[in-house]
Amino acid sequence: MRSLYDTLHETLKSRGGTHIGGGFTAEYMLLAFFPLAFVALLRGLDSLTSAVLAILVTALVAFSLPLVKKVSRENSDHFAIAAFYIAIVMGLVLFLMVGGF
Amino acid sequence: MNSELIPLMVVFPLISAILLNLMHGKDRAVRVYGTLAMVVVIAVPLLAVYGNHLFGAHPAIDTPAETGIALGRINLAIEYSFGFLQRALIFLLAAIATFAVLSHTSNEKRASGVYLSMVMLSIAAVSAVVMANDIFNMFVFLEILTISQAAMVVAKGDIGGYKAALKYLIFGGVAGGAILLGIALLLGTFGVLNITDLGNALSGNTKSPIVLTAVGLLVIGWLFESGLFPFHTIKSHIYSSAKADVAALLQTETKIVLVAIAIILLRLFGGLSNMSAVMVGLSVITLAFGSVMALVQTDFRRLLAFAAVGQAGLVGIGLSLGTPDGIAASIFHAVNDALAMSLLFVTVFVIYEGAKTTEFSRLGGLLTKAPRLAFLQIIGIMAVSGVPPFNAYQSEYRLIGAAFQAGYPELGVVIILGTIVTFVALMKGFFLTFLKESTAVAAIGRPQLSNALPLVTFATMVILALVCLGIGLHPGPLYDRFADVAITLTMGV
Repeated sequence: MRSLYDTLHETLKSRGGTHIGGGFTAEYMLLAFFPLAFVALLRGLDSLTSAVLAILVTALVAFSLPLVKKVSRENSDHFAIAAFYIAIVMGLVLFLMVGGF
Repeated sequence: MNSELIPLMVVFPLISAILLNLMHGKDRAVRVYGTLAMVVVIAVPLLAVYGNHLFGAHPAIDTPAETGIALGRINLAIEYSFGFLQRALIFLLAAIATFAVLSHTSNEKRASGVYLSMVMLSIAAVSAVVMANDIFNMFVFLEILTISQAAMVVAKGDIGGYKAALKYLIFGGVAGGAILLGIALLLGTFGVLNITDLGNALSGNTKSPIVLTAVGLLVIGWLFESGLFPFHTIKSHIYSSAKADVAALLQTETKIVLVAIAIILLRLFGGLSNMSAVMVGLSVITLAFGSVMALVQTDFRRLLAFAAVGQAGLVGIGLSLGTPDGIAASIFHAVNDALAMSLLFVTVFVIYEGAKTTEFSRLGGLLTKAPRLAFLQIIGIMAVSGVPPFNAYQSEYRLIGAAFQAGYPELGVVIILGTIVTFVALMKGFFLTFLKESTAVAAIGRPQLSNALPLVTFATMVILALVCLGIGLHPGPLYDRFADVAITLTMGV
């Protein structure tokens, strides 16, 4: 865990633009949020499958850290990025409503 | 019952908007009429009798056979329903709007009739959305709301405000189109626009692809109006680009509209598991991204904007559960959060007016200059973050309980996490503004922030803080009534 801490600290510092404390907290919160949100989204599946998928997502997130810069970039108020996600979600919502889970 | 005061909650602000627009340039007239109009706007929901108002007094009729409509009886008139929920939401809106109006008339050298006209227009629009029992009427007023909100942001007069407003209108056009197409599909299938009639027509008919497409389109509209993912970035941009007193009003309107549209969706399609799952998923994502993005902001207004968006996700989660406890807790949290977040926006408004910046790099050490402001802000932070004994503690506690009771323990944990992140983010903002040692504000020659706050602003903050505390200590009178509303709502589903 110490090495993860050091790696995160060094990477956040080297990339700049974010308060280190806020960035750190955000990293750990993302690590907690993603698997929980995934479990909430996949409730239709049986508990074993959703547990395995949640563990896989946690591992994926843990190996992708630090995420905060990527998340900040994708959540910027840039018109093109917002339009991209709106188009994706509109399609996804209609697909899930009509096609079902 | 056909209470004559019910339409006045929409008609009076609309007429006032026209009059204020005509008065633009006549400073004294704008100030006097704007202030008096807010007295009426606050009084009408308190005086109005519960009931339904049929415009034109058209009664329900037996459906003519040649129309092909399956229902035996249909309502022809546009109908407004007014009960405890509508009274509470419209009164909350009127109270926060009053601050925005008084703040403008007392702080600006020349009061703008056009700006106050837009505030009135937004009050009329939100009141109509809250009361409308007609889905097309709801759409019309949502469009009016989008335009008036964009205009209020433009009123700030800087390039950032123009850009944010333009983006908001473009995406609003997309969402408005989605809502209208959804309504058109329902109208084409069932032939009615009255929400009660539509609910009756839909019972047992929600599985057809046309209806499911309509549901998807209406959910997309709900996402935009509520500032939920993927519209959370544009909503937070709007909040942070507006003046902070306007941002307080905007976020209140958003939370009220979030609740109002979600209730309509639950009344019409409450049994649809697909809709519930989509709403839960997108609400969770909004809470996660809103809270985490608040943590990494370097500007206090941006931080608050993302925190407000994250809290909207929290409200969305409870409503999406669809249980009486979840719905009641969500409505309660929407009210609590609108109050507490307004208090925080007002404190940031004071910081901006004094220091001319809300960038953390240029703030710091303000505790000695403005201890009263710091005290009121810390109350706001505790209230928003669900710290006892303040109001959001009562609603977040109930939301978590509702999630566990509904069999979604992971959502309970997500809500707790979101609350913690929000608290950390807001405390970070407080630290960097008030506690961190800095001479930056003094160095740039703008140490205008002092403990002597403007009367209207100070009174507003004190009232909001006391209301947050009062609801936190005595949640029963408000929550019990919301619980009754939620039970009635779910019985009809």
